[in-house]
Amino acid sequence: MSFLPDPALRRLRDAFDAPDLSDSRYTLLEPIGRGGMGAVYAVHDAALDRRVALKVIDAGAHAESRIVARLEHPGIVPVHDSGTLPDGRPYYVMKLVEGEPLHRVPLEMPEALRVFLRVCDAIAFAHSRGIVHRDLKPENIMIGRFGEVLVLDWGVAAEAHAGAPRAGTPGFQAPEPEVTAASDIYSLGMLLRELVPEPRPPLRSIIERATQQRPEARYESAADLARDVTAFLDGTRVQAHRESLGEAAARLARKHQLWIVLIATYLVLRTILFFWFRR
Amino acid sequence: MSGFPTTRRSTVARIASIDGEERRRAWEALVSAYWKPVYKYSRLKWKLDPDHAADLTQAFFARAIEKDFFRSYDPAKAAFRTFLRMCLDGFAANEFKAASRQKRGGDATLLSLDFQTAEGELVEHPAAPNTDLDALFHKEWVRSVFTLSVEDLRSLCEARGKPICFEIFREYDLDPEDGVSYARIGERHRIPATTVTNHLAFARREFRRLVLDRLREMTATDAEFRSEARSILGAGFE
Repeated sequence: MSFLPDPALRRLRDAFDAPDLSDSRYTLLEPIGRGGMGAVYAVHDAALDRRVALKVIDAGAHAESRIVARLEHPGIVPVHDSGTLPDGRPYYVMKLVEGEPLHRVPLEMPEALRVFLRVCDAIAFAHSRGIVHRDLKPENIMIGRFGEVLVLDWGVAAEAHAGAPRAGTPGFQAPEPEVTAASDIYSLGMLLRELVPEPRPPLRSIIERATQQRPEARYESAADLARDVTAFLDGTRVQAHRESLGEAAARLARKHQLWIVLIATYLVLRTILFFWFRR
Repeated sequence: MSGFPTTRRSTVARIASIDGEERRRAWEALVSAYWKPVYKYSRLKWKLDPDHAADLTQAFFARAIEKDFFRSYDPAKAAFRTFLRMCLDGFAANEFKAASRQKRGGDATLLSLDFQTAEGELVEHPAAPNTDLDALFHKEWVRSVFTLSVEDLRSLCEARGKPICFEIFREYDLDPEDGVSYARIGERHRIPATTVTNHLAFARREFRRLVLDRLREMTATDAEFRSEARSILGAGFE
């Protein structure tokens, strides 16, 4: 046998991992990537003649497909099918999202905040179903070709009430050893910091509140966090921020810019006309 | 499937067998998996010239067979490949201390090992400067496991009258050309793309089994087998 160079070793390792779909409705196309607790492949679904994504789940993550299937939400990739490969590994099939992960999409601030709000919406929904994601980071947010925002990779997700151990990625991980919904709030705060590296004071306060060391000092829910970000976008008062008189005036001025310009123009014209007719 | 073992027993356990033939086959399997990692490690770690490294490799395995080095292996303490590398380090240190090249080749049984090929691989694919030598030994061991498994797969496909399965595996996974696709391979072999995917699935399924068999053969306990499988095959292995 001739020498196997390093790229051949990598390909053989991939071949070793590749799912055996020979007796199923799916044909393996290509690997897409490896996420939390499994590898994802693009496959062709012969029954419906479409491309879908198939995730082969690692040992110890068998609950993932059931967790994701419970989360029917426009911001969460839907599960179509699940099963077991001939070698015993479980898999599930989901929508194939064509797009780019968030960290590869350059976004200006208002747009970045609108994307963030949609992430908050998906996470608030998951929390309402008793599920915590545990690995929120830009790599796990997909921006679809038509602007869809999807939270991916629920491989380490867990029941919120089960006191699951800490998981995820350093830098986005909450400090507490047992994960609750508040831990996802912390990760959302870190995500916001990543999206807006130089925030204005009200937004900085939102990030600070979301990333407090003590879970009880953070926002109570992803919906509360989203409400404050929406307030910031709308120019109304941000709950997490104690604003000075000057800041309040500047905020009101920004918010009511058009009215202020109209009133000022009116007053200037009235003054000019007043002096004109007095002459 | 003539002459093809469906499962392999641990070589590490078999080298302690009282059956001489069983012991001989176990040593053959062990040497075939480890001689290249040992040779390349010796060349790079002690900067030995090719002849000197070949002598050391020969002498190490010959002495190991003669003195039954590996009988003292305790799976609770380390993986077998780590134990073997530590034995090699100790053996080489003693040899260098004695500085006796004649003694090294002296009464050792010469094994039939193709050092010229191993040297050619080192020259054609040199290790990066400052390579971690433990990592290099591990990588060469992985290369050995895969190389032997690919050979096993070729033999198995031929024995089962399915050489096309190996050929498709070679064209798609082992040595693909740019833009390789099921359709292109199908055209070349005049078979539909669905048959290509079925042949490839067969080859991959057997390759997976053969790699695990090789690993089972090179480890002593189930725990070591699982740990080694995870170390070379990643988190996907169960």
